[in-house]
Amino acid sequence: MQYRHTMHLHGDYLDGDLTPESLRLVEEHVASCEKCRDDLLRLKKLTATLRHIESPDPGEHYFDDLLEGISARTSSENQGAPIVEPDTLRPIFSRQVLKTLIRLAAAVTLLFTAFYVSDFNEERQASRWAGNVSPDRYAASATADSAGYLLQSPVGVGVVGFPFPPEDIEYSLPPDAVK
Amino acid sequence: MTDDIAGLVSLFQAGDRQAFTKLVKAFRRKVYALAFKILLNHSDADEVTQETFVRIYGRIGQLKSPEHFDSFVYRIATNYAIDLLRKRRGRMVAMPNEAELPGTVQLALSEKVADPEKLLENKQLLAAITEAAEELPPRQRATLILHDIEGLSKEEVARIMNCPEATVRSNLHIARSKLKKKLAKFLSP
Repeated sequence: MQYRHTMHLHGDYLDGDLTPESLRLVEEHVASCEKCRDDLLRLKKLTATLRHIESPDPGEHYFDDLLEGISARTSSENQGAPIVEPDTLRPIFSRQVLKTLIRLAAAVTLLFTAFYVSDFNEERQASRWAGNVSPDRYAASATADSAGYLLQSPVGVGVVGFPFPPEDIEYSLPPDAVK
Repeated sequence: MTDDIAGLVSLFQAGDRQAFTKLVKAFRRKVYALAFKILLNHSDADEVTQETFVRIYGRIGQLKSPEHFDSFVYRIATNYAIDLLRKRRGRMVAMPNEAELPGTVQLALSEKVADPEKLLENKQLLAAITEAAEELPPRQRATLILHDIEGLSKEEVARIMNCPEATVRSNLHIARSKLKKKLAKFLSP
């Protein structure tokens, strides 16, 4: 049989929380093991000492003042009637669900922004290749176009619109693109 | 007594303010004592005691079983005390040692000892216990106090700390082991 110390059971032994089987195991082991017997005695002394610890008594005056303070706070904050928080006032979403929703919304926003920026850059690149519209002018034009697209959309407000290329741009390949 | 308390809680839930006052009177010493043992100073214990009753006043509607009012009180007080303990630790502000201030109060051992040598030893033991308890993480400290000093069962502690009994068992084992190590010279058989 494997020799095992019983220190992990000493707390429950002193609290009377062991099963009869574990109780017998501890008692048999402690009878023959000095290390565990020593540990059990130390723990017994510790728990006995802790039971004797008392907090100080701040006096009757303190508790009277305390009651007055609590009464003042509860009556001024709530006009004399207890605030009853019924279960129906609990939030619709639990904190965990709310966190997930916020993360999801943040991810969608990031995706949308990344997609929009990449599309916008492509258009701006195209305007540079064309060479007849400055990037600043194109940016202003693109914004105006995208706003117009949103307004004219048959689906209604809230539809995601990407800027249409300005009409005054003539597309052409950059000079070094043709060999 | 439990029936009286449950009756008062029911009256309080129905809006009887006098019942609330009676409940405060019945529990204020217990809450203060618990808070003091966790926080080890009067001003924090005072804050916890006041705030506990103000919160009870606001949250009494959440208590479904009036017979568990004492656990409800202990839970609010313990949670607030743990929060305060974490805040104090987080700020790392050098607090004055209250034991050295005039007119302040500190923990004591209830045993009346006539022997001056024994009295000195008890004082040293108490100082060592206080120091060792201060080093425990808040939840371990609260578990040890609720179980070993306040004498609550593991089931009650689990209800108050809102955790499984196995967690109480484990926190208690760790806290006791740490204290046993720190207080080795006082505990030799």
